[in-house]
Amino acid sequence: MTINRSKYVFDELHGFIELGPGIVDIVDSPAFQRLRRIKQLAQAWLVYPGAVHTRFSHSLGVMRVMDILAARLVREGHLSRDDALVLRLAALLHDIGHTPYSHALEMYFHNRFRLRHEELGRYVIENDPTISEKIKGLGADPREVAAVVGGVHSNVTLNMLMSSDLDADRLDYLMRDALHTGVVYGRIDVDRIVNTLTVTADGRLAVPMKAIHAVESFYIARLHMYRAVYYHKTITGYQLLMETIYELLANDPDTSTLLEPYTSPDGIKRAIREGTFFAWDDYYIGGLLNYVVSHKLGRGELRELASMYLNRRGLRTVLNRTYFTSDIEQEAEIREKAREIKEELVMRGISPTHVRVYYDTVDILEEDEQVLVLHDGKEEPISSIESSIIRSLPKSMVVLRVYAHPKYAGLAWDVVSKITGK
Amino acid sequence: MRACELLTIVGEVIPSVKGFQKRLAAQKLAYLIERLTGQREHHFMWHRHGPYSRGLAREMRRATPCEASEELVRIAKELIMRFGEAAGDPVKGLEIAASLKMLMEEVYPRPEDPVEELLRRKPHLSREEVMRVYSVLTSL
Repeated sequence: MTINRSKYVFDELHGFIELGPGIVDIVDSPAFQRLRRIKQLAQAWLVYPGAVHTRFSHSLGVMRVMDILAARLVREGHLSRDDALVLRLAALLHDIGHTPYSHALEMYFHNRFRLRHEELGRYVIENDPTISEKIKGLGADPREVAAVVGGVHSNVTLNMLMSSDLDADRLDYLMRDALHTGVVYGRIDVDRIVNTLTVTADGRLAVPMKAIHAVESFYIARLHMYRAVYYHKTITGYQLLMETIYELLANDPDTSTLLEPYTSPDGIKRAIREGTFFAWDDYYIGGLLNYVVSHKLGRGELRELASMYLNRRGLRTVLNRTYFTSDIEQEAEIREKAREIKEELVMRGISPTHVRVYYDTVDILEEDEQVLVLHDGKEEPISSIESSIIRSLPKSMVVLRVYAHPKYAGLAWDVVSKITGK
Repeated sequence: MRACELLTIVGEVIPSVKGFQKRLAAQKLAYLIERLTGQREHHFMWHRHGPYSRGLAREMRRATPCEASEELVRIAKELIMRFGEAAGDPVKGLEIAASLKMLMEEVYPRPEDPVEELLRRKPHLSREEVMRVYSVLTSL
């Protein structure tokens, strides 16, 4: 006998979230429960001790935000009820393929295999024995849900609601991350945004002029969060350290078997098909570090880096520069500096395991994907609105850093001084 | 395939296009080359103008002039020429070809007839030009 049960989960951000029949079964599945054991901000708790919230609560939150958005768009006639169900499931499952330690391991798999978590997510939705069946049981098509997660659904609006400059994912994570880190200037007026967002005739997202302040505040809050949390120098340093450790674990004959099958896309997909993917979580990797250190497994270098990570004795920051700029040439100069530093390190025979050059650029406003504002009967990108403060924001944030193992900090400093002249 | 190479090629082969149109042409060219050669470097989403990669868009905004590899120039020129001839305009030809390719192979739910679907989405296109591009695409 099937019992159509609902449950309510109390969420720290949205209050009670109802999990209807069928949704409960998906949430109860091993692959979804795994998200309870993956921290949303991975290493951020090493700086902000409260940032231990998980991809589980974030996924429920995205579903809640999406439900509000979709209900509004159904009322306005932009979406059907079937679309709303597909969106609900896609929102709930958008992070189902996330690697443990979030972006640290995602960098590892992306740099080596061009593998992104969305691809794994699509694979879970279509192939996990429980999840795909439960989706079908709700009357939806797993491939359609997977298509929204991958951004290739035939309805462009569904793709935009799941992944664009102002999507349900970002609306939830910005608020949630601000709450848990305590970065108060990261908060946004999400109610105003979700209750005014609409769709243009060609499927793009837009807000009325009266909501422009809320959208401006969203962009500014995001900028603060980039600087204070997502690109915090210590947090980025631990991400790089974890990426290096994972690489050493995967390539050391004493430890690689302990990591199997999570060393290649094929291995991970096999685990998904066999229903064992749930075991690949933060605890698995964290436990492995403890095991390697306490049983003296692998090369000394691996054990040393694992100890440094576990004891929060991370890499030293030898160079730390953050620039806000709209000047492409200035960006190119900074990129060139990063290249020169890397080259000099190679010339001196210093391995990337010991000294890492970190260069990244963040678009503060996605030029081709800006939120549209309905203004004087027209749809205009927010940066075209004369009175909008978005026009005054720099276009990019550029981060250049050099991190070094303490033993190599002196050498790294020599290289940095030679290239930067400081 | 680097973003600067794509922009260099588009700039040389279609010198009249600038700004958004140039980026659009480079996006569609990148999609076609990646799918036709099997070298998937970027993640493309289904957008209003067809395949669109946010990562590639970021790379293009920061691209400084560079020289493209001979092999890439050869493939790109051939695609621009063949689809451009079919549509009567190179940018339009690339947009139609890339959109049809994505509709045929990646977009879901998959349309029964990609040509009809594209015409429904982009009513400004003529059936003849879409059919000509479709014919070139399926002959590759």
